[in-house]
Amino acid sequence: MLRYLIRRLFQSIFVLIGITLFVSFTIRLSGDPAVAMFQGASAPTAEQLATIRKALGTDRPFLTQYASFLGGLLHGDLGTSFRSGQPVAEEVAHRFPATLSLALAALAISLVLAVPLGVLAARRHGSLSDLAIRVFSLLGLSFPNFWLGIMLILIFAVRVRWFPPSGYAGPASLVLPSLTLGLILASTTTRLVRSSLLDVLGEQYVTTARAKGITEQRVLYRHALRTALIPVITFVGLQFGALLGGVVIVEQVFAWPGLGSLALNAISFRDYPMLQGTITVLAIFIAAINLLVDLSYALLDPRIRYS
Amino acid sequence: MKKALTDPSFLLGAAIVLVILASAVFAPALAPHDPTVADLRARLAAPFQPHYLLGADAIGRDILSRIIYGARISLIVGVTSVAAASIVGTLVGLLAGYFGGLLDTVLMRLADIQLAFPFILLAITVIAVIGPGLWKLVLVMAFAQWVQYARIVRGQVLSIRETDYVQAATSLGAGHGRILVRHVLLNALTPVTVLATLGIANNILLEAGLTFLGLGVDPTIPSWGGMLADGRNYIERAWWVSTFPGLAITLTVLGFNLLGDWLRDTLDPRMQG
Amino acid sequence: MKRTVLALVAAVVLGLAFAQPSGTLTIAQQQDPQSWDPIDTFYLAWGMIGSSIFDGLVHRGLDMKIGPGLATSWEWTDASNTRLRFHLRKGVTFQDGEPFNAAAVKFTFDRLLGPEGAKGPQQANYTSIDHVEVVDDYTVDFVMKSPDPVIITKLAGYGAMIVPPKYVTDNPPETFNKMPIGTGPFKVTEYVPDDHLTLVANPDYWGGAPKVAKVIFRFIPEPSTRVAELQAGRADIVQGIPISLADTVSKTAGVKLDPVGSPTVNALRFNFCKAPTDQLKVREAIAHAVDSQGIIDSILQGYGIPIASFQSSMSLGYDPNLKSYSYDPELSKKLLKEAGIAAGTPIGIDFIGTDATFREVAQAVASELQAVGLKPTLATHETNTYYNDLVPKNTVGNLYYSGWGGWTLDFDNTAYLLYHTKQFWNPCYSNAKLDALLEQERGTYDQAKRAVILQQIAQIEHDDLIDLPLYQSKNLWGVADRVQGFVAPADDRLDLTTVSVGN
Repeated sequence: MLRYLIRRLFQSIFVLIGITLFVSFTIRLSGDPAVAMFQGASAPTAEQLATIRKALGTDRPFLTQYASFLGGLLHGDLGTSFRSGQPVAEEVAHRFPATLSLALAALAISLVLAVPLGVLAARRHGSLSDLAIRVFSLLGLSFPNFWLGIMLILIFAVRVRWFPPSGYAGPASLVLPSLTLGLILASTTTRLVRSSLLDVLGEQYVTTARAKGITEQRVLYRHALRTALIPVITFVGLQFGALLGGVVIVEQVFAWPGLGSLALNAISFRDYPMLQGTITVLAIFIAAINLLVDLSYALLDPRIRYS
Repeated sequence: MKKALTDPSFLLGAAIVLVILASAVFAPALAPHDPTVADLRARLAAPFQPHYLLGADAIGRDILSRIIYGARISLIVGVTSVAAASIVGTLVGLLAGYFGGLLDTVLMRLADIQLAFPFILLAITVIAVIGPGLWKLVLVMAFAQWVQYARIVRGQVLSIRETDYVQAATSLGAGHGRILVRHVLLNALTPVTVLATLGIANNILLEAGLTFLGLGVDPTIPSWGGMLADGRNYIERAWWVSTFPGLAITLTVLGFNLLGDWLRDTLDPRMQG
Repeated sequence: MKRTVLALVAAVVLGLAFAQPSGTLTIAQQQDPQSWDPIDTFYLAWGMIGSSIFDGLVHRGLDMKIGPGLATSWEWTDASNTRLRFHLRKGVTFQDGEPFNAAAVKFTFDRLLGPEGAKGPQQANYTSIDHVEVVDDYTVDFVMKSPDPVIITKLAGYGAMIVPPKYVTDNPPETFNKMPIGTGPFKVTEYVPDDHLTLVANPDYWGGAPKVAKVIFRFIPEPSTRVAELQAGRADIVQGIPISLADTVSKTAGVKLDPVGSPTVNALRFNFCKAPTDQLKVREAIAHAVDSQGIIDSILQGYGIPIASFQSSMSLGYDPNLKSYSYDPELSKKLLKEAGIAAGTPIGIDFIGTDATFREVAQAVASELQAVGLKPTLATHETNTYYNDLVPKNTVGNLYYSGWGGWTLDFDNTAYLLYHTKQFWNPCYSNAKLDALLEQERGTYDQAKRAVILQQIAQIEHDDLIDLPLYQSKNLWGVADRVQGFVAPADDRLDLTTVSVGN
């Protein structure tokens, strides 16, 4: 197990370098942050651009810039934002909790809805409640997240004033944005719980367990559900990246000051250090989640072991 | 086959998908107006009148015609990208899961790299470099999404590889190819079809999201997601501008998912008999 | 007598008590400029807040006229306009207690014109100034190195905001970016990037203490959400209401829509280096195909002003007699035929995708071009890619969006940067006669003479069809009924000193 963990750690570092290299390279292919400073309102001279590039460090070759980023990363220095002049590590640290709370709340909502509903639909396979749950989950799939967000604001913040329409101030402001993400995520997760549970319920060893006379309840929860949850956990792990993508749009709609809007602005402004810093933190976070997911396989399916 | 024709979910799903296909192919014949011609005096015309059955949008274009033509974009964006991603992903996942070793490790780390980057940010970055456009968008989506399929298939393969019947087949001397196709692939297809049908819906919605951020395709080209995004400020004054494209998306999602469910049920060898 | 005196004293005391700043005003705006240093920025979003924190030597009021600010008067000391003398206001302090005086002015301009300013976009506007000299504690001289007829207006601009020497010198730049100090009516107490910024009234403000005690600016990028905040009663003033939501705001109880004409102008510029728009006849055909008045009436719902050249009616150089090309699709088709343009010729139109209003305008224009037989395709881009990559490299289509703030209210700024040969945003168009006129108007302080020359430039713009001016924007603000004394600014620079919040 230890060897496995060390190998994974090594691989995660490789992944981190891969992602940051890809991002750093791609963003440098378009637009010049020195020119971006003029914000489309004033025309820079060649000398000014040269001065700014020197100050920002963008006149150095790409690999030098990347190497200095990595060097800084080793002692927690993510550079200085081109746009605000503030240290990137501080900005990212301030904004991380907002995105984290949003993502976790959305995940919690989706699991609280999806697991019971998925199990119910699988147990009552073919019945009316199964159909109802399937239809409900399909509806949840067909709304773009910004649309659902805007509708929730109109209904729950404007028509009735139960929650604030936007902003980051206390638990009340977390409700609508996390519902927006959570409801959509719940739809896909419900379907997956249902379908994978149905798969497992047809398995040999489940039939065997039934033949042995173990009660339906026990069959379901002890044997089937644990195995069925594997693809679901995989899915949730995979979805974390997508969830963070959804977070980007939801943060725009609800003016939620998280990493998503930080990254969005960084791309738009060609703020290389800010983008690199944000992506690094997000990547580390997702890598950690994926590791947890893989480790949980061993817990859930006795047939899978790691050497 | 006979069973299929009597299964109501298959019938409904197939019917919807056929309607969408027909809509896309026969759009010029079906649409009452040219979807790109604007009539500023007919701006935001209300629906349920003879000239504008589903109303007109903010530029005075007929919404029904735009929805009919919009089927084309949805099929391109949704289906093409998913087809490309799922085919590539399944192949990679099969090989990686079955043979394991270095191939598996490298592929899965590459997969980790792609997964750790939220699609929206990747799309914005790449579009800033390569420019906007329908096929560029399809490319970006396929490029980012093959990974999901690879990973799910690999996970399935890992489970199935250890099962009794595969062990039995191997001990009986069956070759790798046979095992891969006959046992592993067929079983791995189940989650792939579910994921693919989800993926089609997802990509149609992603296109809407990119339009929301100002990076969508040419706004004169009718796309349901784009119509939804552009109509979001008119919810209170002209609900039809976004509701009808929204309904179109919902129906499409329903149709593909019903078909997907039926496919899953048919392909699953254990559900038969 | 004693009772009268007592009564008088009581009245004064009570009056003073009521004159204390009170209440909290919440304002929702779209963008967070991310840095409050005035030499770093050009964003309108900066001006909305920065105008309350800082002052310049001169001040542009809500009537768009220049008046005294931190300087009480000014004059040229010589006939050749090389030395401009300012007499400074006495008894003004910065919000950190530093005194405002000539040294502070010199520090500000040394900084703007020096290496620190070179890193930002503002310096380019002030390069006509050679240096600033301290004459005495309350008198400064601006020594000009080249004539600049717009200099007084520019001294009301962001780059010329006076900054506190000690605070800036004693602290690293990121501190000033985050917690600015100025001489203005409000002081920053809290700033959470992309979330909110809190201002409190400066009771010692030289122009009189503001009426409202606290102002909270909230940064909300999505327009429908900003409007929701107004509807939910949580925002008192909302900036940047898209025209599509205008009716919604008008119909909401307790708030009103406040449209204000802004100097911002919008046009589609022609690409002279790309067929078929390289031909004058084709450009004329396109000009006659577009019904800009129709667009203003329908898509802009009347919240737009027709323009015949790329400047607002407030701009020096505006010619009320210049007529735009008539809407005549038949003439357009005829011209296209004469130019040998076949039906279905592609015309590329590029613009910025995030402007909801212009999206609709562009689609209407596309449809009108289609009606005369052309085949328009639209491409949307994000702001920075557009202005910093595509336009300067001329990789845009035949028609591309051009929007200009026009903050100097003077056509010179626009025309020079956009029409002069080889300027950054003018990779393609070149006209020696126009260049000569530009140099001419820049060289004289005679505003009447300049106006005539600028009008001639506008005529050339019109005749050559450098661009197709579409409309002058009207900015839509949403204001809750409990707000009193608010006047929406034409240039987005909020003046909150007279605003109070009832209840």
